[in-house]
Amino acid sequence: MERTNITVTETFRTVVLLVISIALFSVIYLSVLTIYPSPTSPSVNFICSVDEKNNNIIIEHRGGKKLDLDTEISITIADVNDKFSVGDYLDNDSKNNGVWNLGEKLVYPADNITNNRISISVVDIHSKSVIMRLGFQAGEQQI
Amino acid sequence: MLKIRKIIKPDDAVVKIIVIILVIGLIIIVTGIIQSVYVPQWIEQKEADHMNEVSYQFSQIKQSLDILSVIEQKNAISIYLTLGTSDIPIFGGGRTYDYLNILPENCVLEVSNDTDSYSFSLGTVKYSSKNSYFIDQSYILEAGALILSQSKESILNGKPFFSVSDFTNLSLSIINISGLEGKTIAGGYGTYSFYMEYLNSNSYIIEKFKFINITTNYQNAWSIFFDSSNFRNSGLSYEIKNTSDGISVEFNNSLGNLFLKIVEISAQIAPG
Repeated sequence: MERTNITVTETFRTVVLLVISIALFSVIYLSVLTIYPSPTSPSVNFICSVDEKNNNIIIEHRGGKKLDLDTEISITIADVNDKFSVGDYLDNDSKNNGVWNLGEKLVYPADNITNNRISISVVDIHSKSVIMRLGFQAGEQQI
Repeated sequence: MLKIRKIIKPDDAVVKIIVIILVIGLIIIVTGIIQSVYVPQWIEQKEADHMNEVSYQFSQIKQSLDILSVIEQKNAISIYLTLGTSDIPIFGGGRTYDYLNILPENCVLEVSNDTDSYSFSLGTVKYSSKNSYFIDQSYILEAGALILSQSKESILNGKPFFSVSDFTNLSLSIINISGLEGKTIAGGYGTYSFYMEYLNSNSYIIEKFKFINITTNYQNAWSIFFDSSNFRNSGLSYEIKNTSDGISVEFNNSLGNLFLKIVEISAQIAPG
């Protein structure tokens, strides 16, 4: 009778150890498997220019990954901030393909840009990353 | 003397074996995730960086061609181009092989007035990337213009020399690149010398020109050139149309002359 008890105890102990081991590793496996890295910031080249004659700020896609039309642009002119999507200011021809692609220009009409400080940032909402950040004084040198 | 023996029970060994198996499994999973998720991201970023490097190198080639065409003397310049990207460390993979070609008679410039038409076949240089993850790009030197192309789109990265005088006369300098026989194609991975040598230049005067037609695969880039502020503000009145194989520029009030200079440049890209 005593020998039987010992056997049961040893078996129970082994089972408990196995369960604890497997449970701990299951937690680790699940933790590792559910680590999905956030999308990387897309590599895109831009050129920003200012048309002081027509009070326009122009941002042109100069190569690299295509961006969605919901890419967020933030423009601050003299402490007044405006946030909008790329699709809001691309011309209709450029919007037809559904993306912001090589050579396509975003033309943002501003009230008065001359001698005002302008900050521009382009944010990719999928990777939640700032692709470009720029600050300059219209009519003066870039800082 | 008392001997203490540690008895390892079979049950302990079972648990240790299972733990080892689970640890190995965990390592395999982590490695798999890095290989399938992070490595492609690293490779893509590396390819993007390489494309920026190629962009800079092509701007140097364009600059060298402009210098050779301006000084018009027997001179030669070499610029080094990097084809392909290297493997990433530890995990390996990511090596790419790019191509560089000199394409003879790949672009045609045609100028005409009411009575005559003049046609010039021009050689071009084309770099093509073969990226694994980043978007493929091509850099093209065509008739003195530097063009960036990806998918079907193209933009102008450098324009050929032109000037307008008296609101009617147009001066245009075009570069014709010819390759040395057997040295017109390079493909692979590594740094290659791009050797350019000035040969000669020929000037033409086309009176009362009315059309400039360019046979090209890069209509948008050439439209950007003719639609540029300098051109638009020059006083010339014209209309740009896309054709099936290029673009056509029709000048509305053809009163002036076109002073066309064709600069002949010999180039070599393969070593030896």
